[in-house]
Amino acid sequence: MAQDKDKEKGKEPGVLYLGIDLGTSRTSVAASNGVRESVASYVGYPKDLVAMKLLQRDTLYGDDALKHRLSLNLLRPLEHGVLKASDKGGAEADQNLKAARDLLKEIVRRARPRHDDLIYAVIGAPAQASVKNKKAIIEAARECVDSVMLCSEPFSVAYGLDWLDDVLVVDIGAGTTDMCRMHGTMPEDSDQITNTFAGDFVDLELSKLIEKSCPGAQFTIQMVRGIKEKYASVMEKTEPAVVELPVNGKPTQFDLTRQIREACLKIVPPIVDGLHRLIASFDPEFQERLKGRVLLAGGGSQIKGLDLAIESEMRQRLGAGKVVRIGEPIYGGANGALKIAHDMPGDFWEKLR
Amino acid sequence: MPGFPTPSQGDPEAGLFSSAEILRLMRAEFERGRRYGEPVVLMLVAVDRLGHLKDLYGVESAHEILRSVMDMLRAATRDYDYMRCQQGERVVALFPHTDMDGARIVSERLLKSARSLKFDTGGPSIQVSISIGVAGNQGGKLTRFEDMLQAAESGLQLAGAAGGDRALESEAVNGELTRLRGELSTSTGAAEGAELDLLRQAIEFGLSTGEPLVQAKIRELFQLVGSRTSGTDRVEHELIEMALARMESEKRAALLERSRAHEREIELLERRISKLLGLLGVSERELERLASAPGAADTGLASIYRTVQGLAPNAYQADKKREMLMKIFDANLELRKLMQPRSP
Repeated sequence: MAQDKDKEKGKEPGVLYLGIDLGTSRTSVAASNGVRESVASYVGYPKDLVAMKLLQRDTLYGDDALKHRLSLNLLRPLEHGVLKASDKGGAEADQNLKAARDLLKEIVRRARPRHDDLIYAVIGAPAQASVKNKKAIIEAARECVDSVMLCSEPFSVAYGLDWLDDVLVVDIGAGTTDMCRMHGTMPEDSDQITNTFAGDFVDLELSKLIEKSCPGAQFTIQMVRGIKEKYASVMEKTEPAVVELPVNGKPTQFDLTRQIREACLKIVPPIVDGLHRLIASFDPEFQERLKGRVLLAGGGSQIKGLDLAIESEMRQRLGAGKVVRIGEPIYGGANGALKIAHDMPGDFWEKLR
Repeated sequence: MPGFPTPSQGDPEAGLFSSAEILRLMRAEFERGRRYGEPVVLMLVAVDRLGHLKDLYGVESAHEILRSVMDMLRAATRDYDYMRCQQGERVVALFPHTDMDGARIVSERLLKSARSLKFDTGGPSIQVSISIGVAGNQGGKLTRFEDMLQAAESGLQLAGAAGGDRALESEAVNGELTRLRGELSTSTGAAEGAELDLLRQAIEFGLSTGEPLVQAKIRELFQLVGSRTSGTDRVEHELIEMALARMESEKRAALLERSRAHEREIELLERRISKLLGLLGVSERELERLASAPGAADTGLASIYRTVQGLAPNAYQADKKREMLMKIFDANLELRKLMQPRSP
């Protein structure tokens, strides 16, 4: 047994730290055993016995679930960054809670913990998640880790990079865009703003534009998401985005460069609105410093030219702006959460077991 | 009747008395009747061809039919003082202070009520019938409760064999058979051997079916036997033909029924085997996959940390971080307190 071999070598069971970014679109984990994994936040359950026998599993996740979605009851348990219907309760909330539990179990499994390790996890939650939402996430996590804490997602991004002073973090996810003002202490509610102009919003806007400009084209929201992830850009000069969409069953090419740019640009004004509010309510002595330290994170930060577009809008409305993109958009939140987990004192973990 | 459960006092099926206890009480009542010379009647009631109904419409439908028949029995006998318990798919009912005339009235009522039941199977509705075996303690022949049960059982079997939807008292049927056998042996002693055997078999069968027409023919025959005329031969032949035709038809029906039952069973078994083979194939493939997959028994990756770490004292901005971590912990502790159920 591995445990016996380790004991022979003088190794005892250890402590595995996990930083988990539980996102609407993607869930990522960074672990202290070196594993980093990411999975699309989809959970699928076979519709019937025939489907179960065909798929040979009772739960599917991520792209695997999307691939077989016709045979599955497909769930995306998070919406706007929080568990769906968790505020209302009822059968839908229970279903989503189960799916969230299963998703968390899967992401923890993918971190490949040893069976005898203590698992301490920090999960990034949206800046303005309600108490009920947070309780639901903790409930889901408690079944697969020994101790769990929640923290604000944009805060965890800043903590992971040691950017704790005079920084504006803009975390663009699928469900929400979270903005957080860091000023050397723990951000309070007034330091954080969340809006829903994020990845899913871009997908919807792009769908509307495609429908309008490509009559007869047949497509699903998953296809639109794939197009966006491949070609997303707000730059005026960019490679043309020529995609094939079926029209009455026949594959037809469409140039969607303009539509993609237009849809992606729509999130810029709401982001700058949020930044404006955070800057304007800050100590006036440090407002200019804040404008010059905007950190762009999350999956949405991968839109080409978005940093420059936000800078341009900030200069127009606020007089100045400097935006930096995080090096690892997918794992930025998870890395930060891992660092928080590592730095948290041991007795804090014990008290929350 | 004080001291004994009746439907108005508590339904045995609801758990007030077990079947064993009810039978014990019935035995006690039988003994009391025997001791004081009071009439007691025992009935065994069964749904006709229940096994056949199960095969055709499923176990659930058969259970529903049984339940409806039980409810019907309860409703039809509510005016009577009696005891009842269920033994598998039959009902045993004891009627104290009831003679055979009273038993006939009760059984007719039950048979009529059963005929009026209809069940919806999703296709054509089905009607059911019941058979009742009756036994009474009048005549003094049944000295033990077990003998009475056995007599009722015989009556039930005869009623079922005769096509169901009837109540038969085995004592009466056996008595009639014995008497007719006696008359036969005295009246037909001069007949030819083979003809006599066939006639005897036909009469036995005719009596056992309980068919009124056949019985009428038998009586007509015996009236004529004493004075052997051409009419006797005619009746004999008619009777024998009827009996043979009936036997042939019953035999064909039984064979067909058995064949269908076997076919259904074979079909079910074949489907089951096919499913099991499929599952076996899946399991075999999964085992192969597990056995051949690299690192199939994944023991996980060890963390680089053997112990809890915490913030290093010389970490960058350690004081600020310490303060932030404390606030994160406090917020989570508060959240846990909110999650705990409140004490009443």
